[in-house]
Amino acid sequence: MTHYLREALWWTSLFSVSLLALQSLVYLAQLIFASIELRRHLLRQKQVEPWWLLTSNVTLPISLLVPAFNEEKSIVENIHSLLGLNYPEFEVIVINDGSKDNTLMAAVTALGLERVDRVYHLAVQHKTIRGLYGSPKYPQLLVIDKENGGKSDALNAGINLSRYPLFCAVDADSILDSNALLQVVRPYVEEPDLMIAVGGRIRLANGCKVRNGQIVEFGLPTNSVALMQVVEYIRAFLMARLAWSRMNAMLIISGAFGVFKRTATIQVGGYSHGTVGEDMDLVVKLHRYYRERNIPYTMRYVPDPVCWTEAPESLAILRRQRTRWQRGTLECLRNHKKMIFSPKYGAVGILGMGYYFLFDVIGPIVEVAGYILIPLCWLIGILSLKFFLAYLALLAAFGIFLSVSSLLLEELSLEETPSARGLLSLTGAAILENFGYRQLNNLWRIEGIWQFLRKKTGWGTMTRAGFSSAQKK
Amino acid sequence: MDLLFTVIQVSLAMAALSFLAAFCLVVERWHRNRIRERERARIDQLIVLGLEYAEMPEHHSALLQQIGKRDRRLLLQAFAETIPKIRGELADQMVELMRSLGVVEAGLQQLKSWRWWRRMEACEKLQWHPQERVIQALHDALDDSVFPVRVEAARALAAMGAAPEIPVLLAKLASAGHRSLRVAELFRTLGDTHTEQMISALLSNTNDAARLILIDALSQSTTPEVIDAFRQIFGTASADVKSAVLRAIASTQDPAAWPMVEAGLQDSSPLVRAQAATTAGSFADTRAIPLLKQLLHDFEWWVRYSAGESLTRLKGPGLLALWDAAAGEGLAAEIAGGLLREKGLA
Repeated sequence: MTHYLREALWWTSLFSVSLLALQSLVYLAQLIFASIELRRHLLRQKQVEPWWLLTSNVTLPISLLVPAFNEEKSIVENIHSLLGLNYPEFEVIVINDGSKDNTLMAAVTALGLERVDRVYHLAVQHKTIRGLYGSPKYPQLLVIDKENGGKSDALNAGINLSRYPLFCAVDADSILDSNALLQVVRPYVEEPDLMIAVGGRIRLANGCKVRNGQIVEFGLPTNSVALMQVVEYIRAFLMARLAWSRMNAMLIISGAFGVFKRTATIQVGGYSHGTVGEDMDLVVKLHRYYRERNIPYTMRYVPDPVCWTEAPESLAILRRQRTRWQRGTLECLRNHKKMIFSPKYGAVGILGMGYYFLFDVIGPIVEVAGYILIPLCWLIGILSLKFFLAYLALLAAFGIFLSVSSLLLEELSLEETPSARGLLSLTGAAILENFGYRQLNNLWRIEGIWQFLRKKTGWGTMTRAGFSSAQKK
Repeated sequence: MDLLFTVIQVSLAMAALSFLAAFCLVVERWHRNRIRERERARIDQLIVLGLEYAEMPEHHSALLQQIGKRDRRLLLQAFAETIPKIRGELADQMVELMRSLGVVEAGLQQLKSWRWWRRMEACEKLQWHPQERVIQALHDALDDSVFPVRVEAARALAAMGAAPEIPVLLAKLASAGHRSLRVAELFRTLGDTHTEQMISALLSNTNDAARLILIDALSQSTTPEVIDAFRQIFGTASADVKSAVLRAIASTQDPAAWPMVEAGLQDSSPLVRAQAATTAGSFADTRAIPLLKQLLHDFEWWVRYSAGESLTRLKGPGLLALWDAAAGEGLAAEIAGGLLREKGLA
């Protein structure tokens, strides 16, 4: 019996280290692909000035869809900020998703909105619309008041009411760079027939100076939880997504900022209801639809920082966010399980879906098991010291290498942290996140898996400090 | 197990390397920030100096003596910042000053670089020096194997007023595999001066990519000749080209363009019908009303919507047609009623 137990422990440990090694190699490949793609992007970007895009008439009009739920305090400022974006032709559609506070009244009063009618085609399903509001003073603004149905439902209502060929889903609590739409529309101008979705890079606004709904001075957060997330966002948004974009296997376009072709989204039935990972689900649905019908298409990721969001500064809120993200990923993998490792779906099935299944579902469980089993096996003599050290080296040393490398990639190409002091802080965070933060994240992912298995739904409460208050600190 | 030892060694080496690289980056950033501040101040000084000496060609040699090798690099930067902002004689003098500093030779040398982006940058820099050998070198660069270099060479030649013939440009730049905003921009800038050539190319070219670029460029000046060319290709064009033509003629109210709108309203492609309906609205021609009214029954929502929207823009008779449709049944009544409510006219 003891022999079999020892054998089981040994094989589990070996599996844990092998998966970690495979993950490290995949990250290394991502780093290389991301470097190539970033270089290409910078050269492409150099070729067109945003002002020309603004005046040239080649850009497609965009409908900005802004789902809002209990955003009473910030909605008016956000609408003003969105109406001031640099773009030739766009409309802002704010969808009040049955807020329990005075979100609608705040917008109606401050912007002088009145009830209006607008003809629309019910192309995708959503809950009942209670009223539409507009104002002659802001002709490109429409506020939809509807029954609560969740973010997907709100976005579907926005899609139906939108009038332009492209729509951009934006979180009501995000800040868009004034040239954000000009940056993300480029791929649509360059490949109008093939492009169906473009994702923009999200950065954290904690520590930045915000004035009139715009980031006026870049800064780093003083809060250590937020600082770790800055490094994490760099790794996720600059390294991973850029690499997936290069392989046309990008599975996530952040719900905080993404531009989609309206007709393509309608073809796949819009956003799915009853999911907390509606952003990933839509992108996977688009891949699936086009791959199953052999229709050529492409999606691209724009690494310019176009959207700024506020990161949770407390571990409790971060935990809620991360467990929700994990549930979203699992829901999406369940809904499209036939795509996982399927060659029929090309790079999306084998690389993209395979990656999420292996490293987002199996990975955290195996890694956490490894935290316990490998030291234990070493202590009781099942594993050699060399094996234990190899595990630690992969876990910590390789982790540090990847975090620091993605930071280097960002700074060498985009130079987004102007001061040497800020760079030093980020380097410190890139090292330290491998000791504690990474492990916590894995535990939260397992908790997310548990919640998914117990069929937990809903978003949970996400308390944010707000840009105005963050700025006063 | 040697593999384990290798894993330990590689991981540690990579971590150590990343530490070292990060340390170097922090030091470099600190150092560069200081240098940048100093260089910025020097560039500002050199801009003033350059503007001063540009007006005194006889003192160019004196300036050359005043500036060191490092300053020459900064002077190029100062030149790049200044030249787009100045005009006339002063600009010419500034260019002359730069020539005496050897910018042309440096640019021509850079045009031979094995790195394509260096060649691209060289094309950009050389646009200020319209000399025979520069023009020749840029013409040669139009045959470069890299698309962005060809685009930049063409732009530089156009900026010098030495743009090649339109068919040559189309052959080099308008392949279906490459799309570039810069190409569209280039053709737009040539739209006024090369109208005849563009019309002739539009009539002789069957490549959709080339046609779309030409239509976009010609839409800036919709002369009778341009309208006539659009009319000639319209019948045989693809849906994309037809839509582009209809978009281009939307701003003109030339009666000669009307047959295209009429044909577009009856086209088999919903894309074309929707665009034609929108264009008909901007024409303010009541002849469109029967056709637009018919399109209110179209199976495509966007076609129905565009037709209804255009009827509202045709005011009196258009609105009467819309009211009439709203009083009926089916898809037409639904869209017409909705639009009238939206406009507050129900």
